[in-house]
Amino acid sequence: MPRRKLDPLPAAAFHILLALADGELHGYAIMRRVEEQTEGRVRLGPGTLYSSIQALLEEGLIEELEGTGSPATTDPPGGTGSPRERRRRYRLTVNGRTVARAEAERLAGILRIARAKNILGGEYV
Amino acid sequence: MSEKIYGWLLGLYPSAFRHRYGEEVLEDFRECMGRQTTNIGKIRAGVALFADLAAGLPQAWRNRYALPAAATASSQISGVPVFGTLEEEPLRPGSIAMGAVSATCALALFAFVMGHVERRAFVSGNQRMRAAAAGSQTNPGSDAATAEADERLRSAALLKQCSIDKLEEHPEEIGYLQLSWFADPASCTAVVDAAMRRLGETNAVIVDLRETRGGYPEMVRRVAGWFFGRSVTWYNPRAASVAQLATNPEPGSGLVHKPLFVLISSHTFSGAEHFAYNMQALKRATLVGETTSGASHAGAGNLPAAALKEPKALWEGHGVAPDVRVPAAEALGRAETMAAEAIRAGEGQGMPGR
Repeated sequence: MPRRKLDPLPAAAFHILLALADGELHGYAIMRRVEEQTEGRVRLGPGTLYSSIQALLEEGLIEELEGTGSPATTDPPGGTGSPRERRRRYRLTVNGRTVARAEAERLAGILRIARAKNILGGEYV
Repeated sequence: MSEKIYGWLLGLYPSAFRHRYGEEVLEDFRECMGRQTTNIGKIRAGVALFADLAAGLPQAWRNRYALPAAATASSQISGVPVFGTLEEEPLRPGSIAMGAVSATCALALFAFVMGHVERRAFVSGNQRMRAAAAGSQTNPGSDAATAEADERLRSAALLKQCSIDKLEEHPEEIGYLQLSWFADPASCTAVVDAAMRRLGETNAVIVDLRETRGGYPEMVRRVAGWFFGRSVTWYNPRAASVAQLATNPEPGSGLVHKPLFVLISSHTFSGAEHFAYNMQALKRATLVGETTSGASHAGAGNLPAAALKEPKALWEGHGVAPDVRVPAAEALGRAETMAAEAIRAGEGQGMPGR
């Protein structure tokens, strides 16, 4: 089997996985969610968003919900509030959750080092 | 307007991506732009979105777009090869025109660059020589990375090996050759010939012998041959045969009718005096500078004195006197002025190759 495409996991892909951790979302809602959860520091545009989504789909880290991508799908909870049509919605797979967790642990490891070296002050948890 | 450009740039993405996500991408673009109320906000968002479009491109092309491994293997007919294509859309007439235009542009650019390189070859060659002259002091590791630098160093070393200190083009396309020694023709003929050929592309030539200690008489005679369209009598006190008492014209030499100035000083010795003396006697060159040292080192040759056709004024003990007497330090400046005048006076055509 060839080396995994998303190894190491790109930042955009990690943010998408995190955005989907609470539940299923469609593309634009993922964009908004990423922006919210990072307090506006990370903004994904459609270009990186959908190419990352496609890569995540191909790696089986997220999956497309059955019955979406067809007309008259209603807005998902936590979406923008306007009714949107023909939007595909995605959710995290078990695999995706594992990968997100592994990535978070990797970052936590780095954080520990930073803290041990006194690069981070006490105000960060 | 910006959406149109965005949609057009989306064409850079794989067609499978566009089929699958194109509509959503454009819709999201509209949504993002619509959220901005101020003009500055719109511009900022637009810039971010365009940058994002570029950033997503590599990932988009890395994706396979074949989720359940279907469709691809279906259409193979036995015996007919199947070719994988990036774009499954048929070519539009616009694409073909675009291809023609970009191919023409590429070709024109290539032709322009080649023409430019050709024209610059001599000048850059000289810069190379100049760099070479300074190269021995500069750090050789700094720019040795490129092949061009290697080539430069090699030709520099070659010139240096053959005692050519400088080979330059001065303003008004005056060729400048500075020798420290007339090198051994056995090893340096090709290099010196190349230098002479390069000098032939200039309008006038200055040969600087102010610090030349001498050299091989055969090389002296060979260099002289470049300045005459036919064989001329060549006085050589150390000639080993009668054949060495005349120059051999170089076919195709560009130097035959070029104004020639030879710089001499009290440090000009032996073979260099020999060159200056003959060029003056043959009225081929104007000598600029100081009277030379006067060291012919005669008597080493094998020919009887009568065969040498000894000229009236030998330089042994007296030195060769310049046509234009100036301190050695000023000789180059004076020669450049005179060469420029000579070029302007059109002597370039009139100078007979005596």
